[in-house]
Amino acid sequence: MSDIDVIELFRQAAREVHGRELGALDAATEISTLGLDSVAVMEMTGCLEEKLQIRIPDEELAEVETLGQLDTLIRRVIAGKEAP
Amino acid sequence: MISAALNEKFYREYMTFFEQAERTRRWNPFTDVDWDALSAAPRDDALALSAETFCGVEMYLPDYIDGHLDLFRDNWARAWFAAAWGYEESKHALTLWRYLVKGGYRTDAQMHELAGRLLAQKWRPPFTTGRTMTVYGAVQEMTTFVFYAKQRRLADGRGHAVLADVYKLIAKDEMAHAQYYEMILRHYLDEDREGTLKDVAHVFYNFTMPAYDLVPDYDSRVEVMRTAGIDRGVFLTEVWGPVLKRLGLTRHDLPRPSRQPAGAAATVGSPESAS
Repeated sequence: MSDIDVIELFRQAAREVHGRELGALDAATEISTLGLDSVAVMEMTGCLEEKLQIRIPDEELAEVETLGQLDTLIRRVIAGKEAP
Repeated sequence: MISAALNEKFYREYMTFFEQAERTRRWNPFTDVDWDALSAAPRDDALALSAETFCGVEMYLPDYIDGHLDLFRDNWARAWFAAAWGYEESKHALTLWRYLVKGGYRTDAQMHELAGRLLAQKWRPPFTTGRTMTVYGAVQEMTTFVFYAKQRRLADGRGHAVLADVYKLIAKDEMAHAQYYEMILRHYLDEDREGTLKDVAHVFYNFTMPAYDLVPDYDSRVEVMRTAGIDRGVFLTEVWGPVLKRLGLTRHDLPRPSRQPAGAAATVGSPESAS
């Protein structure tokens, strides 16, 4: 799973869940600036979780502000899942 | 029709709610607020605008009660709750109205004019079954509690002790209402977990606060409320999170949503969930 591109997956989720095409995105992009309300972000997160077969704890997701932070969180969850 | 067992549980929840309200929570808008102290408070038009907005939302009470009774007319406990709830909510609007007039922010004539403008429009329930409206009630009451609690802290910090006391009294009622709805939801979950989770998910992903879009000058009011720390993020972390947690649920227990088109009333759940 180390080759995952969270930003691209996020972009796909916006398209699949809300039919939205997001513009330029990078790790510093603040999710709150994308015109998506927090429930919409939750829906997209659900889409990411389904694709990656992971579960992100709500409390940790609530702390995420940027796509870079989302990337870090997802990698940490995957690492935890893959750990023996 | 709901089962006799569920009906019995609703009855017990209503009696618990009502007894606790009578024994520990009743308050009097005329004597439990130190209205004379208002004269010492500095003028604060932003706080007044928020108070007027909340008052406006509370003024759709006839439609809220109508919506409740339309769904629960044949269920004694739920209909009686609607009546008791309506009494408590009516005090909220009256108390905020009184604050605005006694504080010199509005005249009675202005408030009557506002009431007329508000009631010229009708609020319609966003969901169509008893169970989805119960989920909606739990979330809406918790949201209102969070709003009032934040306004209370804001008012207190700006030297408006009277308004802070008003919000404290109202917030206490809203929390009691939220807890009642949560208890009802627990019973729904016990009886039909899968169907109830589907309804919870549906409301979660399609929730909007009641009547805010019907209140005049909505955009400027929303802006003022944002400065008080009220936004969609708060809704998620301080409303949905705690409600789900108290129900013993997380987001992962909820099935993936089916978004409804804006403005459309939702119909989710089996016919049994209509009571």
